[in-house]
Amino acid sequence: MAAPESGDGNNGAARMVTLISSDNTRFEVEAAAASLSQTLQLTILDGGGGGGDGIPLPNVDSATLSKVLEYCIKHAPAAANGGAPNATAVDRAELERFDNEFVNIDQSVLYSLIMAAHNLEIEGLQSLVAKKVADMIKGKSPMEIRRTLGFPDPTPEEQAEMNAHMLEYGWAYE
Amino acid sequence: MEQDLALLLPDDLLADVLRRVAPRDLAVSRCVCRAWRALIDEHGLLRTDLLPLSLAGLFLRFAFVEYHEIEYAEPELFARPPVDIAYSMPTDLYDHCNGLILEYESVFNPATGGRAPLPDPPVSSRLELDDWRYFYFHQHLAFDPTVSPHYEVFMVPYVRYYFRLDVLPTDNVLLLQSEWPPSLWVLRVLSSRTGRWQERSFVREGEAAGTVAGLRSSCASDHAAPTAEDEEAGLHLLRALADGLLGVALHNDSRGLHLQNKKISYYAPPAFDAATATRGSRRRNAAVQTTIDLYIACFAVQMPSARATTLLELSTCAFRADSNTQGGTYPMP
Repeated sequence: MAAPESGDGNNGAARMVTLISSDNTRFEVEAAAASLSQTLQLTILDGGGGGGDGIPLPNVDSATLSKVLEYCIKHAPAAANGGAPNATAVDRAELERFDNEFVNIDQSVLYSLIMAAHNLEIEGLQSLVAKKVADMIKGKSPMEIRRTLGFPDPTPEEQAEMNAHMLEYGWAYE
Repeated sequence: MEQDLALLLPDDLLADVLRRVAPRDLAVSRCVCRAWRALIDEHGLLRTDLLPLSLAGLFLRFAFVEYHEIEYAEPELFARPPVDIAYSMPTDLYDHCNGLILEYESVFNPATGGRAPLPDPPVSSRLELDDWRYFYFHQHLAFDPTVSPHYEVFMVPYVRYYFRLDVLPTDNVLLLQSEWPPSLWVLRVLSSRTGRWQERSFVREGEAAGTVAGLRSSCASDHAAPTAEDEEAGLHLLRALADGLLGVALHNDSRGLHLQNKKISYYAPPAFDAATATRGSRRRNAAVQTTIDLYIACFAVQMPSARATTLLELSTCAFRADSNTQGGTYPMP
């Protein structure tokens, strides 16, 4: 339990909230971290999640929720400061390193994460994962993109359609 | 739990992903599947104006004359620094236009590696044009993505000649005395929109260049030294075709030079000059006055990853390629 005088998470003075995953695991986390989620922030501002109640999150399993909270806890201080004045270049570099490491995970986890970020309205996390997926597309041919993202092999008709559209865009745009 | 990420994402999340993809990758993403294409189009994500135009390499095809025959070498890639685009080398360079390459019986996009086979052209309803003893055909490609995503291929007949006139056929007197080009020209045209060859009629504007027999003999005598006039006439021919068929201003300033350097024929009829062709400025380029042409198709590749994912601009230049430049240093524009 964080001490009240802790400088971190000053929003609500390290007030704790409890989140309950779809598989009934309870997570206790600082309200400031949970508030990175727009949806949770409203509940928390209404006084929810404190004490023994907990906020049920029926759409998020415990594995995903712990990952989401890992992100929130890391980003809460920067978010609370609004980028100033503690956000030094070192801090930002550290966050960036964390983010890069954070999304270096299986696609199935990425999928769960972006869905959770979407449901909980955690803007930073959603863009982080979306950016990661966008990077996976970068510099690839259409077939390579399909393979990378686990599409099934194209049917002959799909293949023909792909080929046709590959010709369609010859990129001589002005 | 094996999830197919891209397939399961709801549209708004997929759109959020694709919004972060650079224009050139987005253009490739459009080919991935129907759903992606629909999404990209629906959200208007592909800002074509943002596609960069930069030059990273050239396709070269050397041509040289040997025993009065024009021989063509395989297309080669010239790029500095070198790029690895093995998957997108054209097998040939019959013609090209704004990013697409016409190969033997296929159209190829080196940007994506996409290749569309061309169906065999049907026999012309104008049988005399199919007489290979008198005519031969070049296929020409017309494509302007700023106008239409579809390309068209034209079968354009040329009067056959040989440096020895006495080996050419003379039995069809009527044909030999007829005007060239004819006042009504029926050409076979393939549109990628339909995927089928169709015949289209073209009306000659202006005087004929002469007769088939006359062109044949003048070609034979001029064979070694085609004139700039001949060359330019060929360009007018293509302009007329392009204008008439596609409404494509292929001869605008930025592309006029490209087109000018496109070798159509040494002996295309000078009189086949559509009124529309005069809209383009007439340019002269001494470099095209040569019997030996070097075809250069310029394209750009994505440099950071050194991969040819996007073809940005395609143009041609014709240089005099003397025998001592073959296989040696390439002249660069």
